[in-house]
Amino acid sequence: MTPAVRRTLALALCLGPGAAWAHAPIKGIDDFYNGILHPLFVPAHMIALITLGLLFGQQGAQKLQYAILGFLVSIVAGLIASGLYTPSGMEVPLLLGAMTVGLLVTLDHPLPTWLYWGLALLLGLLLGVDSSFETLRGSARAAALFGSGVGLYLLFLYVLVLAERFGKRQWQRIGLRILGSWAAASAFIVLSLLFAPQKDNQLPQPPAVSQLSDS
Amino acid sequence: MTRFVLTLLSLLLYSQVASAHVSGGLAGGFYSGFLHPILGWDHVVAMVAVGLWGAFLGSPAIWLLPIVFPLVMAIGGALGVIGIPLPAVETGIALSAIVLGAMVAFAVRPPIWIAAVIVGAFAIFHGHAHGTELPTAANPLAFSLGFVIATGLLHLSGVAFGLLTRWPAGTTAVRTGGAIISMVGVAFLVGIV
Repeated sequence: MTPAVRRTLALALCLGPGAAWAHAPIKGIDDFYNGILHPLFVPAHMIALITLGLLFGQQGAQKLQYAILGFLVSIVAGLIASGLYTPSGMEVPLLLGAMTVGLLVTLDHPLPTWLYWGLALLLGLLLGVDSSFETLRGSARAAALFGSGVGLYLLFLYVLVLAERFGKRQWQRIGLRILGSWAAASAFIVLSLLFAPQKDNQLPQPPAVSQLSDS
Repeated sequence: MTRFVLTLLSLLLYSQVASAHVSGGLAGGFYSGFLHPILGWDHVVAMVAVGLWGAFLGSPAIWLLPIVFPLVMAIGGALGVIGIPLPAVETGIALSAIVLGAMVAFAVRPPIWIAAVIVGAFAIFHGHAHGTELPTAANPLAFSLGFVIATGLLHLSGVAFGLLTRWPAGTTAVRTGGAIISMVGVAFLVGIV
């Protein structure tokens, strides 16, 4: 084999690696971790958290520090309430909330503090109640709910911090507004499914815990 | 030489996974939504034209048009989802490329609200085309996020190219790009492509 052929072969092999499959991200995860991941598997949760994080980061965490804490309290209240009441059809209010918050991000206009409080409390409560894990019992459910609370709040904080950190310059603030418009547009289109003809007027349902874990 | 050819032929046997079908669930919904605007050349040229025109007009159009477009596109998407027919959707999409490309090619600088109305009007056609696909998507929210983000990134690519207008030669290149987009739109309209 000539050096040229060897080089060609080596290059071709380097360019064609197979998939690594190093970890199975879902199988075998425990209930707590399952709860942390839950918001990532429910698009309505994700979009609500991202838009709220964008809004709070855009308007300044310092100004809204108590509302940020209030969001945590409302998530906890919602998670506790989910133990007493298992709701259905929470996608609609969550998407309505996400669309409203996305439009507020797009407008980028300072609002009265009570409005941020209201949005934080409402969305926190909805997100908490919608993370009910009704197929689990006892300590497994408690662990999943605790994990879900951690996951919900962490995702919100990540987006908030990134939005505040990278929302100083004018072009960065424009970027935030564009993200807000994307979120609002997506939520609006999916909400229109409610009015779709035939059997298509079903909004996507969040995956059951049993689908996320094999345990 | 024979060895080289044999080696190359043997590499043909070293194939990767085909990925011929879109998977279901969240990833599948997002993936198919993301690809929907990108795989349609009529969408691509019009989206790039929006970004080009925005960059050509400068601030605030450079960011206002890419914000107006997805928001109005959502209304068109909702019409498609609900099943309200919109006449001549494909014609509208082809016209969007023609008009928006011509705006760039002829360096038309209307007031910002007129530009927003023109872009918004065409956004309804693009949104309707995406929206009619939505009810069959694996995950509608992931699908809609995918096509909205892809649309935005196409705008961004137009904006990036449009920023060449800082230089005289760049302005010529951007206007030429607009003319090409307009001609592509004509080709779509008459059915050449």
